[in-house]
Amino acid sequence: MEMTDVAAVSRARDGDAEAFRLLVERHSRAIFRVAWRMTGNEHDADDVVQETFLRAYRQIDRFEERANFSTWLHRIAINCSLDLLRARGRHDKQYGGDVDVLDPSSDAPEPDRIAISAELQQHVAAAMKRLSDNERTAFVLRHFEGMPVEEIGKTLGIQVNATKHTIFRAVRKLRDALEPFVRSTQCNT
Amino acid sequence: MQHLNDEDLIAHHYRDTDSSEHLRACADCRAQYETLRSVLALVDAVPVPERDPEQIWNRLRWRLERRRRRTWQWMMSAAAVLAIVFVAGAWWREGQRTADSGQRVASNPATQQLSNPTTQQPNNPGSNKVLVYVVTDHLDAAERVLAEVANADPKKGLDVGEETKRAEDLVDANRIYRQTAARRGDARIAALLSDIEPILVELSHSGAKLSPDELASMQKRIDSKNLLFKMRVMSAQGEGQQHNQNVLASQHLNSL
Repeated sequence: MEMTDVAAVSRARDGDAEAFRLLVERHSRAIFRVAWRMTGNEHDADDVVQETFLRAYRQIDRFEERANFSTWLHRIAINCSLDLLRARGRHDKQYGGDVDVLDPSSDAPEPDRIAISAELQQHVAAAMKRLSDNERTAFVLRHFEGMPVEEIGKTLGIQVNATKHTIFRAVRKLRDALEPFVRSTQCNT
Repeated sequence: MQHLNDEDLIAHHYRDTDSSEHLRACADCRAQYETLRSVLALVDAVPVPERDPEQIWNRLRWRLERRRRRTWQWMMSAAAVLAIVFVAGAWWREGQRTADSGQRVASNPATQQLSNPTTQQPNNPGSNKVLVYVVTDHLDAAERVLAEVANADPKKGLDVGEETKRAEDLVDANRIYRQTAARRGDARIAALLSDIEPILVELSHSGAKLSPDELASMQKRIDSKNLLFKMRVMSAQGEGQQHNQNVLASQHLNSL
């Protein structure tokens, strides 16, 4: 029978490295996903994943067994990502590495699922780059993580109304940036 | 009919509000909402890079082990510092107590006579413990010198070049310890040191070699007063106190 998270945490607290390994292997993919979406590049996301599990290991005594380990870990990952972004002052820097913003009206190659996917990646990365740290974090937490507005507000340290407006601004910016490509894609298909 | 604004559409999308009824009835708003959904679907369509959990663990394990090693080293260093502080504190406390009692004795005319070894002051168990503890090393060194002499073959005499140098070093220390013991009223230590001193002085003044007669005479004085036995007993008492101090120190550390 597979060990539950709570049982693994309990054994990890007693110094069982294999139990902690189980937790890492079970949750690292999801943590990498949220870290990659928040930081926008793989290298930073790798660092966030490492830091997240190191912090979790150090603070494992603080984890309450009635809580959900995945939620607790995600919160640590979000804080690590925010720390990294703040430390680097990333709002002026590129999100997602070097991105060439393509003109949607240019001569697109033959509709090819893989080619479109790669192209869309660049467009989305360019659009995400235009978001501020708070906008990107609020959007990722709301859109991908399904986190309630109140909780996002607590994470970012802002009021509920301000959180809602941050999410609205993020979505509006994405729509303005990506709408032409949506139409172009719809025309091509 | 009032159209839905961007915020209404976004709130509806994330199910913070429900505008389904309006969207069914209003084609313009429905078109706006479809565009929004398509944009967000585009964001969803971006593939996320994959990571092998085993690789993540391998990198993490190395960092955890390094961290554990650092923590262990830090704990060892902290324990060593605590042990040093504890022992130094114990020494300082004993030293203060000894100094205080010495000052009280010296400043009180009624008790000044006690500093005279011929009129013994009552034993102070605390300060005497410290004295025995301190004298132990000196007695060990002196015992080694005297044992060389006591165990030598009286028929052959003894080359004492090395012992002479060691005896010279020990004479001054012996004198100070003897005077201190006498001043503190520890007759037992004072008497033992008093018995040792003439032999150390004689040894320090002897040449490079003791003749068989000189050696036999010295051995006789050492044997007649059972000096080696008394020195070993005194050293054992000092080591016992040292052991107790160590036990106390380790108990203190364990209780932290």
